Amino acid sequence: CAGQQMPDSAQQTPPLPAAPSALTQWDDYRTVLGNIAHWQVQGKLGIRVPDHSGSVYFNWKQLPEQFAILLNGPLGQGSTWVRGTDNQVSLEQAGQEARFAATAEQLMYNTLGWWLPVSELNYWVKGIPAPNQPVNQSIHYEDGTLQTLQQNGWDISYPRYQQIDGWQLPGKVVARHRLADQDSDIKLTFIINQWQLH
Amino acid sequence: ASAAEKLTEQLAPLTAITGRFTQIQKDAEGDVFSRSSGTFTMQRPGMLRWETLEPFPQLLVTDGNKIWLYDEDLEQVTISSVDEQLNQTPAIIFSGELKQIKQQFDVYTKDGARFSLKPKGSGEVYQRLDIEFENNLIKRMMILDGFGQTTEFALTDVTATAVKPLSHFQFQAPQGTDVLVHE
Repeated sequence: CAGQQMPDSAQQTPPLPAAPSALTQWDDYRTVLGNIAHWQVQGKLGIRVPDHSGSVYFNWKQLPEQFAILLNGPLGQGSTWVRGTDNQVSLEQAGQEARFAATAEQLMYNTLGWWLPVSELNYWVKGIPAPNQPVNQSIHYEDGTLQTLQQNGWDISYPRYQQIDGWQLPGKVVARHRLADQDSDIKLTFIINQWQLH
Repeated sequence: ASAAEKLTEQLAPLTAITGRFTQIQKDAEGDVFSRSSGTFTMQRPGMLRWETLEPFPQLLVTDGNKIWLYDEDLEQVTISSVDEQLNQTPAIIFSGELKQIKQQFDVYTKDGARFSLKPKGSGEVYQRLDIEFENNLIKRMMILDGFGQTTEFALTDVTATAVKPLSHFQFQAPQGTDVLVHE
């Protein structure tokens, strides 16, 4: 009989697709994983920037057209929210005026002194290259998952993965942005302890 | 006695306490978004050793002057000076003279065991700090920040302890650790 229409179902998230083989169907794997637009990831982020190094806890919630990233210190202090939709990004810190900009990168750099390449990280954090952009170089592990990737001036390495609902998702991501002038060199180390794919 | 005096009476004998913590952060709607646990030692004035074991190893120690944040998995230690940031954490209770707390906070209590501290300044980063005592030891603390998010610290196996040497609240980086100093 016809599928039962849920009366007032919450925003119905599509069922999680099965993972194609990263080894033999890398393009499908990359496309299907890239299209999962509803996910959340939690962990610790090490930041190495000439004069803003440190480590923060992060909680990144991604929805189809929007994202919300929370950063805070070890005792929960200094919460910073970076929220974005397709055309605008806001950055809020408790006790201060919210700031807005077109991109998260510019907003974070102006406020925090470092930045996350949010639009590409959206894919890199899943262990896949950003789509419709050239991949300068990539090396895969024997099981087909990415070991290293060079894209958009960033070198990304994936030292370890974890098994989540049939998908191999990164447990640790190291992203280095190397530019000629030393002072814009940035190294981000994500240690991920929780993945949720919807 | 005023609420502030009752609080200082409870805090005064606690020169050094140690125990375990569970730290739970909730968003304004009350959904948990992070949970961690470990051990702590707090010692007057202003000394703290906060060792997170789960989900990641992380050691925060301060001797009241410098703060060391050591991330074993990142092989880095960040050294910064005690600053405004730390005053937004429970460490403030052990950070200085008791009259400093009275200067910085309006203190409220109904039963002399649960206290709420509201920062006197405006544009504060957090709205309220709660402290709960049980048989003269701290049992729970909670911070309500400017976003309505709460960070709750449940303390267990809390005991008063002998005063520890300053070195217990300082950090020597192991070989090969990146040392990052914040001016």
